[in-house]
Amino acid sequence: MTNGQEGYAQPVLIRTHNLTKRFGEMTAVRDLNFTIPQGSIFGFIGPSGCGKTTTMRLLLGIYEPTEGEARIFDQPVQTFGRSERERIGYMPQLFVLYPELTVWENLNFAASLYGFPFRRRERLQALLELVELRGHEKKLVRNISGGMQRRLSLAAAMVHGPELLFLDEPTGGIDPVLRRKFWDYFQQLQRDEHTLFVTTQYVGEAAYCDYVGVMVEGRLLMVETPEGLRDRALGGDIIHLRPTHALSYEQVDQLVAQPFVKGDRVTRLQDGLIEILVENASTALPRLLTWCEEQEIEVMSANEYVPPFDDVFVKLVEEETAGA
Amino acid sequence: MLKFIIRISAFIRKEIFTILRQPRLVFSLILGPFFILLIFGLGYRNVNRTFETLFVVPEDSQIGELVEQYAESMGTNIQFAGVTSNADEADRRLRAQEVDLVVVTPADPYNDVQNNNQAVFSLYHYEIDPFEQIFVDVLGRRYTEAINQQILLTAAEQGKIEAESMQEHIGAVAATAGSVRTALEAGDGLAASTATEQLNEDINLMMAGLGTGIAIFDSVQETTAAVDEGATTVLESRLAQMQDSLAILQQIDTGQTDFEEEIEAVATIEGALEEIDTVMSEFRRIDAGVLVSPFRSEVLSITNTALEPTHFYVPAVIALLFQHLAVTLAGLSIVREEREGTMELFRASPVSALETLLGKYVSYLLLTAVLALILTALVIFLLQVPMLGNWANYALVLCTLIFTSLGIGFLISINAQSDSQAIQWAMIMLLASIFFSGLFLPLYRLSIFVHILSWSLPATYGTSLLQSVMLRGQSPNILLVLVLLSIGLILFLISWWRLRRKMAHE
Repeated sequence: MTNGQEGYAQPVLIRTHNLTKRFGEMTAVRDLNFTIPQGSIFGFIGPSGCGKTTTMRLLLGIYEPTEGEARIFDQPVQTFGRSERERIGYMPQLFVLYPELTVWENLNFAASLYGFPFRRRERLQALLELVELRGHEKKLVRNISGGMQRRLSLAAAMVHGPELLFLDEPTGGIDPVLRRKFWDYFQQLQRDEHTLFVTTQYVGEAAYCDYVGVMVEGRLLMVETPEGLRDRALGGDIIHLRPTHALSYEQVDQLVAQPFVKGDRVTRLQDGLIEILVENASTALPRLLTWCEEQEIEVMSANEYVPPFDDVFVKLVEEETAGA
Repeated sequence: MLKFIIRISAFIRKEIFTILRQPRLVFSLILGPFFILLIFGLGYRNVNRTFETLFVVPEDSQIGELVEQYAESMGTNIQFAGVTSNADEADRRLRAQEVDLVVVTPADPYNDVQNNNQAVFSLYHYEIDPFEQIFVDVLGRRYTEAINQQILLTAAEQGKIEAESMQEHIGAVAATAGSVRTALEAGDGLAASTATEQLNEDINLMMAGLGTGIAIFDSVQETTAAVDEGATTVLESRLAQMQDSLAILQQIDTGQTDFEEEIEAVATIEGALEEIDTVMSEFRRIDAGVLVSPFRSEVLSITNTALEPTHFYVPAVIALLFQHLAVTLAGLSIVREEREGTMELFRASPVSALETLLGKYVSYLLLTAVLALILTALVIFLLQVPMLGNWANYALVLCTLIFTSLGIGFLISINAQSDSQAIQWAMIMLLASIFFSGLFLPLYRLSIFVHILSWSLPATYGTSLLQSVMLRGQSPNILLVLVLLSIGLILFLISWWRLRRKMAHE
């Protein structure tokens, strides 16, 4: 799925058209065109200050677009009334609940803010269970850890059972174990048919998303699936071959000439490791091993290499920047 | 509608819990103002200042013996610090603030008066407080009035002594008149003529001493309008009658046999003497102090209780404190939501500006009302401040005051860029209220354009209305309540409008 393209199995929930926001002379985001299908996790990835939060605020109706339009539930965001807002949950980047109140009181406040009925005890308890804050209800928020505060923020954003959740860097500044847990929550929410719009600085988190938007300096470079991103960055799958003895130049030349190798991309790495670009690793790997047998090359290991998204991201940005 | 109530309740509970979670804040909110009032109540001394006063009396001046006596007559306002003839030394001591006041007595008061000038007592002070300067001015006038009154008192006492001596003369004149009558009734023209000559001498002697001291009595009678004829008028008319009658007696012929007209003249003289004697007796009967100061004032209040100066200030302090409390609480409210980022959450949520504002209004109104209840109970039961009015009226005034003050606070909060700016504006409000709400300076002392500022402060209405309710037991002036309420409603509407804009998309 590329920037602005459609063809999802699910109906489109969010649609932007040339969405632009300027603050005085400075353009924060420009000409954003993308669609997000219902029931998906949409990751918005980019470095700090690239316009992720501005985009989220535009989608929430906090900011008014300078140009273009954002539509959610097939309605312009600027015309949202109470009923539309009740279908949306928002977890801001920073913790914005009240330190002098307890965990329970904060959650109760958030529920009331969305007009959630007074009989809500079970709902709140279930949410606290989900974010693993049961037993901490009576603690003042100023006395709980940063990670617990983030989980409370998430619970507060979900308290009214929104169809669409906007999560602004929900994993920012928390440890990897908790980050992993957060993504488990998000995937749980997705299974419960919620749609999530998540911004993150951690490029690796793109792997948890259904679709990823890559943003740099206020521009949306692309919208892709995580696999699609890799493809676009690397041009195909990568196989790492470690023979017992280093390949000769002749053997390498022969390998390059094999039909499963894509674009003559065979690279010698350190310690005799060979990196091979293929169209599809699952079909190319048996053919590679067969070729090694034919060439009497003893193989220590051969497997698909999945590069970290950080590398993918850097490569994409470099390519796009060079292309621009 | 239910969701509307749920959303408002979110703010009510949040604000109340947030404040109650801060015990020190609650403690200072309730006991802070009470202790201020308690210290004021216990510490206020309703006394005038005593001026340490040095008198400068020129050498050989007769008045030097009197200054201390006059100073003592001023009560505790003047503390006699001695007499000196050295004006430079007195000036040095005044500048060094060793004494508070230097009174320079006139060098030769008799000469001044002889030259048709008033003798001047000059009072030198080193005060910078305008109110103390006014007090010194009043003190100077009271001092010279005391001296002037002393002179009048001396004159009145002298007049009474003269009157006593005069009555003795009157007795002698009456006896002589009796001799004339006896002679006339006996038909002895010669003896009557001889006695008439004696009567003439006695009357002339009496007339010479009459009328000097009696003038004060006459002035009192005329001022109070107690009689048709004043003492002097009586004396003058009776003396004239006596002169006329004496003229008849002086025309007695020794060969005359009918003395009917002459006997009637003697009777007139006797009657006149009796009346003059009565006037003299009345004059002598009245105390010299009363003659000199026939009037005094007596101040009686129609309030049903005795009010201490502290009691007067308590309603104004309550109004000021609750205005400040409401302005500060509301003033920090919105700006803090903005600073902490919760405003962004509100913008993304279905909560409206009206719900946000109403929730905060209700929570702060409830909180301050409870604080007011506790503070009022402490003030009434511990400070013994009287509450003469109706509690419902008291509650009405206080609620209106708090409602309007919250409006000012929210307006500050919506427009302030930071907490410190909101606090600064709240402090400016407090300062303006201290000066212009009638707490220390009565409003009549302020020029009319400042009244516009005064009557735009809720504390001004609160002070006036609470004083009426608490100390006079009156119903609050409904016009003032309505104006205050209207200001509050206008502020609410402006705050709502501004908050809507703030919560709308940027």
